[in-house]
Amino acid sequence: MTSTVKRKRELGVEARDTRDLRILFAPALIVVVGVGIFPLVFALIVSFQQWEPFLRSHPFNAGANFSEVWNDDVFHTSAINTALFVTVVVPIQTVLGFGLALIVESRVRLQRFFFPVFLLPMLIAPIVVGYMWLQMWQYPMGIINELIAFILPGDPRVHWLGSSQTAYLTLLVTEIWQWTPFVFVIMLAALSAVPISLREAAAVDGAGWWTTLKVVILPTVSPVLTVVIVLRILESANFFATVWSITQGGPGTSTYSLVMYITRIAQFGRPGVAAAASFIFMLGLAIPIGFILMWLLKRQTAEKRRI
Amino acid sequence: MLWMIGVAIKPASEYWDSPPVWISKESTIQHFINITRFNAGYRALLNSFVVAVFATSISMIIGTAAAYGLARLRQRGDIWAIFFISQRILPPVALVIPLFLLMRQFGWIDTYQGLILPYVAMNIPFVVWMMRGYFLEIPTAIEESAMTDGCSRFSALYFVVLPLVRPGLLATSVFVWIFVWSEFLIGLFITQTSATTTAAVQLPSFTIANDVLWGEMAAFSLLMATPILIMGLLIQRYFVRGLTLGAIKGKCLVRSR
Repeated sequence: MTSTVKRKRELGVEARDTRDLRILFAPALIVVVGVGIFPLVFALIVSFQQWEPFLRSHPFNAGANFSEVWNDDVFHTSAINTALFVTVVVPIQTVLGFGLALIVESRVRLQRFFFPVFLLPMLIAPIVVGYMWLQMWQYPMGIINELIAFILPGDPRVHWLGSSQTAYLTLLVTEIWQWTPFVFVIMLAALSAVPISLREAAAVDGAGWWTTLKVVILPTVSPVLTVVIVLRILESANFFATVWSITQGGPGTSTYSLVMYITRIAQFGRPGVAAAASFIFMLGLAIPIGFILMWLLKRQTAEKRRI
Repeated sequence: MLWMIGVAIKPASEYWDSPPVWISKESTIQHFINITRFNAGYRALLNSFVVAVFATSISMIIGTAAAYGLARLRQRGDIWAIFFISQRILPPVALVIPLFLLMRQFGWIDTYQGLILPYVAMNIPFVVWMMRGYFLEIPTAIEESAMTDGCSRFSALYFVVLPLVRPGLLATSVFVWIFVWSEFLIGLFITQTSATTTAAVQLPSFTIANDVLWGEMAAFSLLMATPILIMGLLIQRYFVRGLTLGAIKGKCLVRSR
């Protein structure tokens, strides 16, 4: 008898508790849906309408915006630039960051020096970083050219921002410079959580450095590594401030990023087309990420099963 | 290597000397003075500050509350958590355009709230993600004992749990602050005049025609970046803790295996 009475009372408390908890997170839900989801729906509608600076009404024009974007050369340039950017930058950052973390993790004194230094690039606003590098890449008297002239004989100064390929290179370098520390910092922490016992066991079994890495370290840190890689892919696909500050998409339109492209169109007063482009962008981004996530998840469950 | 060079270059009062001058003997503060002659000048820094304060505090309050609710809500909570976190995958561009149009309707272009609201919305998922990790680490026994002592959920949260996660709160706030301070894309769209320009948006305007006013820009960048650098260096310890979001188990847990 007493047990049923107790259970009934607990139910009442529990229901009230759930309600309280729901109240706690309601505002967040409202804000996110209101400012995050709702505008997206609105954008979807807009992408099917025709918005020009001079038009007063916005008639539906079916998929005209989408086909305009798809047939635009500049769009293709931006898409290729962005895709290339991500595929180059993310692996380099990962390898560099992780490598540095591996090197530094056992040397505590190095750590204490490097940590704040490495933190800096991440903290500076990307657009500030952009202009900083712009100054350095200048031809003929930017710091980088000065260094090259100092080291190499002859007249090796390069007009970095003058040609598309080198301009693109400057964007790559700037992005790598700013965000490799991100990978480094996180992986350093992840490495510190690898159980020493496992490592010692591997050493006792005579495992070399590379084998230890593969068998002991990587499986342990792979969840964190996954998160880091996904985050970096997302962030680098959205690179904008760098382009804006260093090249403004130039020379011509050769170093446009997708975000830059969309921004430009919107600035010209054609949000319909811009919205269409942004949706294509989102799809293009979500699908590879979805695949990557699935692939990584499969690997993780496979690893777990093996252990 | 290049890190230091970049920083040293900034307070440039000399321009293009070859070989390059590192620290000039004739350093002047003229550039700092010139900034005030610019359209927004120091006002931009003020704007950034105001916006950052409000955006950070509001998103922290709403986000932390949500994170707590989600952390304690058992099964259902996890689904909502995934929902929130998936918001981060959204490219901000896709949002900027409709937001701009909608804000034009409300007349919120070029206002503080026009900036703060999107920033709050964008950062809530992040705050939820981070704080949830912290909350999940706190055993429920603590709140339960507080509640049997007569606290409601809310007061339990406020008086008992929050002090426990204070480092997490601090770290997350700093992250959000940095993010809002550096934000460029949304600011570019929503601010039009010097009334609300944020520092980040103001920076490109130091280029006139095809020339860049390096001195002023460098001075301004310094002013913009220094507070963040100081804040960041102060909470170095929490960086790792926060960024890893609890994906890394403590050594104690691992050893017990």
